[in-house]
Amino acid sequence: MARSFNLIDPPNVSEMIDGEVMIINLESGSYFSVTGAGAAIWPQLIAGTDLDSLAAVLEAAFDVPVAAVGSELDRFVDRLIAEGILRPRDPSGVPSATALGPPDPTRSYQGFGFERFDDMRGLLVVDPVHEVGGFGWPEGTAAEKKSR
Amino acid sequence: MNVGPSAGVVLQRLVAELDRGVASLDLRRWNLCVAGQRIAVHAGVGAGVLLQSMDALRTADSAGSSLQLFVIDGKSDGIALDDTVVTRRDGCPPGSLGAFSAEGVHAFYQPYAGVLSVLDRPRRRAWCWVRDVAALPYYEFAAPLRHLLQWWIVARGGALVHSAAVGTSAGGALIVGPSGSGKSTTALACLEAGLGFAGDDYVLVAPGEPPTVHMAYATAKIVRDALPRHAHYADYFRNLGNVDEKPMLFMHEAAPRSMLHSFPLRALVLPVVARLAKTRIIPAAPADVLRALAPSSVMLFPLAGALAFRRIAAWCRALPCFRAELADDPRDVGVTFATWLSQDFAR
Repeated sequence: MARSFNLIDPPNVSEMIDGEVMIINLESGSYFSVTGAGAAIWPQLIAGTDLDSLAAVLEAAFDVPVAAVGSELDRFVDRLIAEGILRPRDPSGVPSATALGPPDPTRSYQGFGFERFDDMRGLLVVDPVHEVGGFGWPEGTAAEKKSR
Repeated sequence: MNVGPSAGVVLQRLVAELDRGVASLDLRRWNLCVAGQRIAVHAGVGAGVLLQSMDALRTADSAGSSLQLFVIDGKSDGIALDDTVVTRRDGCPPGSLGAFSAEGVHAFYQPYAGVLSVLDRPRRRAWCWVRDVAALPYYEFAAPLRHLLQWWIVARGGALVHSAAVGTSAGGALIVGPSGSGKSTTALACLEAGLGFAGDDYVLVAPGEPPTVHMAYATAKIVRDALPRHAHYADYFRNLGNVDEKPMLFMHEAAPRSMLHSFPLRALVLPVVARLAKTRIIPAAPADVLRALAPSSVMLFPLAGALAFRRIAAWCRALPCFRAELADDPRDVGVTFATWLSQDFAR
């Protein structure tokens, strides 16, 4: 059965820029970069277009065997699911795939680039449970103070 | 996070409590011009200290305020509020910042600093309640009211961004990058070379073609090792005594003639400490600049991050992006930026 997905939004937000997709998880503080074939199909992927159709789109655009690109696409999507970026959706009523423009012999297949960045997470390490201070409001915890 | 009708009731009670609190106080009014809009800020003597970095925004014009903003020092004003779901951040996922929103009211509590920010958009009123202004960490003095300003400017199509900003009235640049990347050093080097200074850490960007950069704070933070280089500002250093924190300057005091309140945004620049003999400013991939600017601009601002990210991405797509490979000599950095900014950036 064809698999379809949505972006988990919130907490994730994504923007395409210059052939690259940047995804930010606003709750965890992690952010991600998607390049290559993943970026090429990103708008269709998060709109719910099924993976079989997307593999066919990539085969046509990059002249690579659909079986090879299909397995790479599966691994890419599984990683996005594991990172809490995508979730499966009901495949009924999903938009049909559209081609990535006319074949371009100068456009080479670069695979599915995916990178995770965690340098912002330290700023978000906060403890949601706090002791009530003598002045009537919660005080930051010792762990939180240490993290600042 | 939106937590349904019960949050609405909680937030309305909180707003009513804040209203009752400020009604009992003898408050002074500051009229600020923020991103071209009038904001009336009301604060007592204790809370007023928090506004020093925004002194350069003061205006005599009090007509047509778009927001009434009350700053309360819980300690000196004697207003202790009830512990609520907002301050406990009940229901917020572990590790998240936690904020509440219902019926046009946003609320966010920073437990370590002891700062509660509440914006009532339908009534155009806002409150910043501080547990004890005298006990605030220095960064709250460097960039006060920033959650309220972010919610307010995002609703107007702009964003408060984590960036330095320099230029002239004809145009200028955002200097982007995470903390420690050289934003402040570059901004001060540019000021010394004659460019105007609009901020070193957070600035407001209003929509337009091109967008307009507006000063939010006149703060400049300085790494301790660089203090001798800035000895001519010695009379204006603040926060020198706390060795765990950065010294800072309020540039409207230290270099009042270099204040640049707003300018058309012409370019985005990512500084890189390159230890070159001569600074080089070369084209950069917009994605690199977005990655340097967006995370720290959006992640610390609950209820505004998604919209701010969309706008920052649009600006990175529309404007020329550069990488500045910095020389060791700050004078070379400043002169190179001043010369470079005098050229046309048509893209």
